[in-house]
This record gives sequence, C-alpha cells and structure tokens, in this order.
Amino acid sequence: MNPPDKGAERTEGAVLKFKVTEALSKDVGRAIARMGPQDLEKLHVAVGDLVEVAGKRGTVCKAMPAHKELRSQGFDLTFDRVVLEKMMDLAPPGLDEIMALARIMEFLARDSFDLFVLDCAPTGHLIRLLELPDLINQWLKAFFNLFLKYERILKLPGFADELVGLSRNLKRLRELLQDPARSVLYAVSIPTRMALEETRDLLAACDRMGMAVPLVFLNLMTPPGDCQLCSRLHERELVVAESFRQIFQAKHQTLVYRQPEIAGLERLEEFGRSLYEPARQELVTQ
Amino acid sequence: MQEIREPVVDVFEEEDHVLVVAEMPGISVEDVQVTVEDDLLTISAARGDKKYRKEVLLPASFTREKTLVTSNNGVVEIKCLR
Repeated sequence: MNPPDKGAERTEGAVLKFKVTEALSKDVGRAIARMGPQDLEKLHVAVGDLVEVAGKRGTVCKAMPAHKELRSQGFDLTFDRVVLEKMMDLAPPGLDEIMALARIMEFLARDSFDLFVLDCAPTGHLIRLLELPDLINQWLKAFFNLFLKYERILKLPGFADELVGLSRNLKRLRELLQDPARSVLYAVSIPTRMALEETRDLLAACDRMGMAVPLVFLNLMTPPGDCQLCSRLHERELVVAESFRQIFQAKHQTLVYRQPEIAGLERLEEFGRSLYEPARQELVTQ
Repeated sequence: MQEIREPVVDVFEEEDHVLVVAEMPGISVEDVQVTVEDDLLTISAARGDKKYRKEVLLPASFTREKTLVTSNNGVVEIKCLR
C-alpha cells in the first residue's frame, strides 16, 4: 500500500509490510483500506486520506483504522515471528552439544591444540547427537530460509554468519568423527545389565556412523573386600563384566574400580598409564 | 421532504480514547454537530441537500468538552477522550 504523495521527506524510511486479509462484510464495496492507527501514523496517512493500493491494477481507497483484532504490532511479521520463535523452541535436542562441538572445530582450525577430550552426554543423547546431524541441518535450513526472508527487517547482525559457520562446522565435524585416524570414541559404562544394553545401542550406532570405538571402560566396579556386601557386589559385577567381555570381544576393555578421586600428579600419571598401555585386561587400582 | 441518511459508523476503543469514525461523503467539519449525553453520541450533519444523522452508543460516558471532531475527505472522526 502506497501512501499518497505528500512529499518524499515525510514518507521516507517508512516501508511497512502488510498482510492483506478478507474484508469485513460491512466494508465490502466501500473502497476503504484499513490499517492499524500506528501504521497510519508511520506512513503519515490520516484517516480519510486517499491511498493507492497497487496490484494488478491500482485501486484508490480511503484510509481507515483497522479493528483491534486485525492490527499487528508494527510489522506484520507476527506469524513468521511466532514461527521463528517456535523454531528456536523446537531446536532439535542435542543442538547445544552440536554448537559446543562446532566451537571445538573452530579451535581445531586454529591448530593450537593437539588433542581434544570431550566429555559427552549420556548414551541416548549421544546417539541422537551422532545420528541426527541431518535433522539439525534441516532445522538450520528452515531457519535460514525464514531468516533470509526477513534479513532486512530483523536486525541480528552476525547471526546469519554464525549459522552459516555452524552449518559448515557441522559438516566438517561429521567427516572428522568418521575418520578413525583422527578421532575415536571411548565408551564408558558401568557394570549393570541396563548399562550393558545401553552400551550395546551406542556401539551399534557408532558402527552405523562409521565411528571408531576401540575401547570400553567399565567404571565404578566394586573392589573385592572384607565386607560381605562388597564381596557380593563384586561377584555380581564380575558376571556383568564377563558379559561385556563376550559381547564386545573386539574391543579393548578396561575395568575401573571405585577409588578416591584421581587428584594429584602421581595419581593422574598412574591413571594415564593405565589408559594408554597396550591392550590387555587391566585393573586400575589406587 | 429531504431524506436523512444514516452514515456507516465504526467505533474503536483505544487505551486513552474512544474513536468514532463516520463516513459522510460531501460533509466537512463545520457541517457536523455532535452532542454527547452520557454514553449516547448523536452525530448530525447537513450540507445542501445532504443530511445525515446517527445515534451511537459509546462503551462509556463522555462529555462534549472532551470530544474532538475532525474531518477529512468526508470521513468524520470523533475522538472522545477518557
């Protein structure tokens, strides 16, 4: 809708976007164009002014205020703005982690670190994260489309660049994760049946993804001890550990017993040695 | 006997005022007479053989002193300040 010619300086800069809706039945044939009072003000159009509605053919209408329920707040972006917000709400689970991983890619690109050790989310989340870059890519694409549409209206400087960067990093991350020479995943489990099944799912997912998982840690094993409870727990956990051993025969497996916090250089070194020593079934004890 | 027409009227309830917009082609502001009695607004206007009259029920009570009348291209705006 164009305001009437009132001098360029008055209307300059006021470019509003309107959504055209069906006329109220009592308005049909009255040659009026209803707009929100604030929009009228922005366009320097008074009620009763003649405005031209440009379309296949131009139509001259009288400007009238719109009824409250049909007014928008300034821009008529209401619908898409809601969509945009919903998109943020509907960000796929794992997006936070992906963002964090993508940030790692930036560090990696700078070549200032040799090794990155990432502590991942529990199995279910990790599997989703590993398997769903496609979903996140789709989400990003949908977001881009909306964003590009309103690039000139929604001023989010740098945001688009950031999303583009994220998308690019995501692709590189995927390549990296599938290259066993450059990345491996160490599975950490605990000696319970449930954890065994979870680990099985995780390793299957990694297999599908083409990710290398050379090592499985079995953490929080109860050391055999004097107390009866400890001994019983130990026995029970050994049974599970045996299942682990049989199911994941191809993997190097390390049992880690419950122990005090690994603090101090000496303990840390001992722990490091036990991690990097050649494949054999080890017991990490204090 | 001349016909008295009833104009199309919209009532808009805004935060600080109630706006009544009446479409009366051929009428300018000096032709309009407005009276307010509590919540009853009466608009009458005449120019030449064009005559308009309409009673409008307002959502609240107002006084004539707090009522502003303007017109533009035959569209009369009556602003009742709260």
